[in-house]
Amino acid sequence: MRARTAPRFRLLLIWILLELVAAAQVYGPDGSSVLVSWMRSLIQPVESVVSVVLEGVEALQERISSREALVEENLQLSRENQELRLSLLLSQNNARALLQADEALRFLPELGGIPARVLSRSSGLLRLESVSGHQVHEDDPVISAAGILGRVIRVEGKQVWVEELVRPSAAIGIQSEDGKIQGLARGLGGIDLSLLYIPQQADLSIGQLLLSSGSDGVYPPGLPVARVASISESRSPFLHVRAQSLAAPDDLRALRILVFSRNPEAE
Amino acid sequence: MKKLFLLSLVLAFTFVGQLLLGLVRSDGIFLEPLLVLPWILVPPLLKMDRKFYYLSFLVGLIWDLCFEPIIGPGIIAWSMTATLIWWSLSKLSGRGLGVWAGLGSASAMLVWVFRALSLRIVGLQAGTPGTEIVVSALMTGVFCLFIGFLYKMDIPSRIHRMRIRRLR
Repeated sequence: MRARTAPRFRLLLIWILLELVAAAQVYGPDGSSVLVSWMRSLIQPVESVVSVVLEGVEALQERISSREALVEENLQLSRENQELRLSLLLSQNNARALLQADEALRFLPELGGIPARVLSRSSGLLRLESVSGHQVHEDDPVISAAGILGRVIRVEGKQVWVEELVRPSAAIGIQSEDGKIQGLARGLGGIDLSLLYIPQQADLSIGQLLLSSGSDGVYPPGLPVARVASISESRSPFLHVRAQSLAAPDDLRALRILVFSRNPEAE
Repeated sequence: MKKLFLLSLVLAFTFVGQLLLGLVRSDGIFLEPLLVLPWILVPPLLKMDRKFYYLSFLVGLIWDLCFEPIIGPGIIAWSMTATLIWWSLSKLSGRGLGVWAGLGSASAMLVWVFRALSLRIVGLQAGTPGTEIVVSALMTGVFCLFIGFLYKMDIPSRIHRMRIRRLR
């Protein structure tokens, strides 16, 4: 069977070969030989498949690159979003500081003041950032919504360092609301103040509000300073009084730096 | 060598005859026989060596050079026909004059058909109408019958015998 098939196959091959030879000699209307057109028609499907595959690969590459571009754009937008969020937070803080400072100004609107944001606070020292562009000077009083907090001790650009009244080195002239009792308040390092030079016969009670007297030449008179926390008698001619500072809560975020013309003689 | 030369000479003569028939292109039916056909028909009929099959390729090539616009259809037609003749004669046991005539007619028809087929494949028209093919097949059959008759007559041995008789 195999021996019969081989000559037939050989014969077929010879025929095909001779047809190819004949086709190479015949030219079509377009000037190319029939053999070339046969080859073209053989190659055309393969060519179209290859072109389709190539187009697919190209489209895939384009999609991959566009995906990379999208990822890059997404990252860029995320970064911009983060920056905007930070900016929004800062703006919110500034707005809050302005609101709190306005709240503080309720007590003494005629004095005006520069809003400032609290940057850090430790052991009676505050670091503020001035929100407005007004010039701040040393010894300018700083108030919170509750009352006097302290005074400016250092200025560097917009950054301001404030000494709180509760620091042992700080002191303020105080008086009762009716002005009959006058004295000096000194910091004790905590949240309490020690009132000095309060005579034994002074009519003072626990919880009484103490205002600034202005006798120190730094703080303006009439601003809330502290409330009396404890009173005890001593052998000295003065009472031993402790008062709690009004402007020393831990959640301070905004303050106002008061700018007022001091009496040069008082300084 | 002398035999080969004589064979080539007769082959050339046959093709010249065929060429003349083709050149005349008359409408007469006597101009249609394939004079070349006995070259592929006689070797299998006389049970000659198988290598004579390859003579069909040579006949086809000369046919292409003489009659066809391109090389290829003639070789295909003559070699395919020779293959079929060799195959059919391997099945047939008789070698009478009828076989010569019938196989000659069938072979002529096959030559024309294979030629038309191979030309059609490459997009060329064969230009041979069916009636002409039939007439050609019949004429070729007659021609092959004549060749067979000559062979059966054994003219060389008759001449030889006649000479001997004269010498006596």
